[in-house]
Amino acid sequence: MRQVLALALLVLAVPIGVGAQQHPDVRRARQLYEELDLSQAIVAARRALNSPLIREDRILTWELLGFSYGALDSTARAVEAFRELIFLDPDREPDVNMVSPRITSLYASALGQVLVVRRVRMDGTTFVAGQGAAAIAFEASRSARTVTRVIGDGVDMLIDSQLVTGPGVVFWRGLDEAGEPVPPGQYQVVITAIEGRNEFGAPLIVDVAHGSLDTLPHLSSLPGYTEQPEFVSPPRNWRPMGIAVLFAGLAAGASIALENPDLSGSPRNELAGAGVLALGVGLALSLKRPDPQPVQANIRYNRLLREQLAARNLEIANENAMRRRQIELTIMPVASP
Amino acid sequence: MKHIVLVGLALLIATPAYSQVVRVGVHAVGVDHSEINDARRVVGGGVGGLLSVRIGRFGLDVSGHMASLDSADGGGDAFKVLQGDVRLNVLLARGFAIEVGGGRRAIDPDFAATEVGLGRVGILSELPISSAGGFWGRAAYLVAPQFDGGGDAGLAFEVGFGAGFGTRNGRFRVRVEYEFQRIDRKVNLSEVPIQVSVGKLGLDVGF
Repeated sequence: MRQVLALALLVLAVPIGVGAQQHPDVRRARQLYEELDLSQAIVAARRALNSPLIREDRILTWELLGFSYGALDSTARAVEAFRELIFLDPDREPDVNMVSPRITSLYASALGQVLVVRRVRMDGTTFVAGQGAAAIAFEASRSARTVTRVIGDGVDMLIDSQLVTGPGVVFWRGLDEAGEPVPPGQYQVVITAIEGRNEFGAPLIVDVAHGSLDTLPHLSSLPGYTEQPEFVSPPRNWRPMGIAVLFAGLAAGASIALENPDLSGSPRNELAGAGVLALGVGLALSLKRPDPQPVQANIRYNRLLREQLAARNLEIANENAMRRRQIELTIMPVASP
Repeated sequence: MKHIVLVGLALLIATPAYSQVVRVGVHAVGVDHSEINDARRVVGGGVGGLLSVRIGRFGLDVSGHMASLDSADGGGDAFKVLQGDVRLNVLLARGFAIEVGGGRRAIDPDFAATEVGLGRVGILSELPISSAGGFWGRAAYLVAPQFDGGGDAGLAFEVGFGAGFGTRNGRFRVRVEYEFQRIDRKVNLSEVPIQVSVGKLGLDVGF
């Protein structure tokens, strides 16, 4: 009774993924497995494997067999079933939180006996062609040489070869054999692990898109530097009034002093009128804001600033010209169907 | 036509004229003319004009006026005076130029006063304060004055000063000016002095 209870707990703890299986034998095997009739479940599963199954059904069937054999303590057969499962879907593995340690152990044992490439992953990335690379991570189940090829849109090239034990990384620069960016489209990155006569390839489909680089904006000023006023109005002063007094005084004094004594009876209306008006002009010019005067130091400073700005903008223009010739590659993994 | 004139005037006002070298203007004049003694003093007013050209270090001033003069105290004859002056100056230093030229003063009717023709050599000091205005002063020795009634001059000179004030762009300017001229004329050892004061107030335009 206790054995039956333990078996029930073991089986119930192993959920069989419900996929899109259609084959009746697979459904029957699953139903028997859930009813804890493991022997019949194994028979039904074996029968199902003799039928033409879709990949998903085949994966589920081998998984069910592995779990059933494991529950019945049939270690060798369980490992064999898990090996088949791993070949079919290397990334499918029992959830350690859901299955018994025994099942996990059997799966690990099976994994150590086969050569597969698993967990092929990459993050979408964007880089300038020739100046970056997309990193593709993977894991080889055993020590092996891995070769990586990229296939698609007229491209079939080897991009990497390395000895790997456990996790590895491949970098793809997105260039073809001529060193030019590959055309946009879908590519298959196939990582093949080779060990003696054993080999296993795992594909990763990626989408390559082309983009143009953002150009740099031209500068209208240098940060932290501002142009100085080249003309500055000096403060008001009384110099114009002084000059008016000087000129009018000298001329008036001279004309009065040098008058002919015989003709000195003139009331000098013209002199008085012109003198007053000239003094008025002097007063007005003194009160008026003086003309802005050039400030040579500021002019030289601004000239230097403009030269620096022009030089920087020339550098930006050259940089932009280069950027316009460059291609930005965006490589994104495509979700497996 | 009216619109064209208005548009032209607007353009003239709007266009800065910092570098203008030519000014033309008109002015009203007040003249005080004395000859021989105070009893023959006449005063009056009239109008005049000015053309002033500045090119590099050289300057040319041509001015003239016409005035109707009458006795200040009922002692002299009324007459009209027409005077023209030409002055050519060369700038030697900032604000200092030498000036040469000539002038003639005609009287109508004849012999109501003495007509004078003269040359001049002097100095001109011109100090622009800003684009809006400036001052000038001048003094000259009058060379070999000639008189229609004969005679010659011992001491003959003129002094003057002026001021201008106008728009900041230098296009328009009000001008005030004063000239004083003394000629100690002698005829057959008799002293027949001439003394003229001219005040001018006018408006000129720069180009």
